[in-house]
Amino acid sequence: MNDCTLTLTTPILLEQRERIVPIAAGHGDDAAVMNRFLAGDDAAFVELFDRHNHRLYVYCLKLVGEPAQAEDLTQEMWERVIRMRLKPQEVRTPIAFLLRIARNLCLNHLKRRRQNVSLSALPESAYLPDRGDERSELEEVVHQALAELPFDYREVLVLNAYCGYRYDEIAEMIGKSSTAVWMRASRARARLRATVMEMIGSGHATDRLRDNDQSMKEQR
Amino acid sequence: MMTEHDGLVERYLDGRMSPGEAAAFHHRVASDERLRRMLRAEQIIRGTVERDRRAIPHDHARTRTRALALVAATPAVPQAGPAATGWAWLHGMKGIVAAVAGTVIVAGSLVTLSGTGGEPAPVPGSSAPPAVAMPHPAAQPFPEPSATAPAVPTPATPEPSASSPAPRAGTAPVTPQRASHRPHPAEKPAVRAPEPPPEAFASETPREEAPQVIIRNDTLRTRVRIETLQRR
Repeated sequence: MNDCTLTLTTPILLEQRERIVPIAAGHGDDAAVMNRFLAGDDAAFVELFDRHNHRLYVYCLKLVGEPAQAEDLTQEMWERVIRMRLKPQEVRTPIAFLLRIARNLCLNHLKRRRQNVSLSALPESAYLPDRGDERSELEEVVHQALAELPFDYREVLVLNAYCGYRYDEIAEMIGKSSTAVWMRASRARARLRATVMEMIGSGHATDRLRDNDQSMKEQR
Repeated sequence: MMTEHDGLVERYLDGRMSPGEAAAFHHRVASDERLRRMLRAEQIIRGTVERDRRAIPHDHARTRTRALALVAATPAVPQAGPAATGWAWLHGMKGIVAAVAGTVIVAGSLVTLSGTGGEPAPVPGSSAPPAVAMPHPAAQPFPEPSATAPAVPTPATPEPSASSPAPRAGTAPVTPQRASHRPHPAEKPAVRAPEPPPEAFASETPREEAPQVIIRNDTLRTRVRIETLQRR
């Protein structure tokens, strides 16, 4: 497999990390915006929506796997927030509150589908954005490995790598300590790495993808 | 489970190694096949995640439009609590107030019932008309009963006959009842409403409409029967 040629280049994560951190910064007044919204300020809702909608959509997308479902779940989450105007309650950390709603909706959705939380039963094409033939076999392997992670591990990875939240923010959102979140993320990465390594080393990636394609064709 | 290699790879890719550490790492990677594969796997994972993240569309116009429409249709509930209206002290005592009000209502009802023997007392001197049964709407299509139709007997004062003893002067007329019947102490005589003057009856409901009262049992069978009788 030619893709496995080792290249010791500049770490790609540096650029990525620098770009991610500012996304999550500067949202300390979320609570004030939320209160303004609950008090009847529609502009505050727009502000709240623009700040958090995309990342919550990505969160739902990576957990549920289907773009249309993720959009519906995000929509439902906002509807619940809007209905709070009729029964206002104090929200100290809006992003944690929003994430909790999104998380419950995702879990309920997964339960309704009578599916294992690992999403291993999903057709692979369902949880990937449609990008034609751009993806390499190795990317396919990564996506499969990510989808096979346990829910808790995958959630932390998604929040960190896809949504751009820091570990301390994730800890606040999911109600765990920063150390626990960091440990969980490290284990998730190690497990993901081990899966990818195994496929690289044994050359199973191509065979596995071929098997997967074959099974999908049979299902159709 | 995290190993030493995992830690090294993450530190290297995160850029947390000093130049000396990085050089040592390069030497180690060149000689360690497993570490080399691990580094390659991590590079692939990070690159894939980054490309995948960029590929997710940022267009949420539909969600936004729906949400904004719902926001516009959902007004905020005004937060005018008791403190805002100056009735906070009453809000805090609402349980006591409710209990007192309930007690007053129950006591008032008991006093009223015990004072009148269970029925409202007639107001002396009042000329309240008696309860008149209104004709049922279902009886309207039926023809008016003829004058020869038997009228419903109305309670009337029995006229003194020859067989009945005449009341003695100074004694109240005795209502016909069995001599052996002795009223129970708890049984109180029914209070009869004062009879209105004859003009009141004449002005209210004519006696010819009395058969319509029977029709109040408006089952289909009763209607048909009455209609048949009237045709005959």
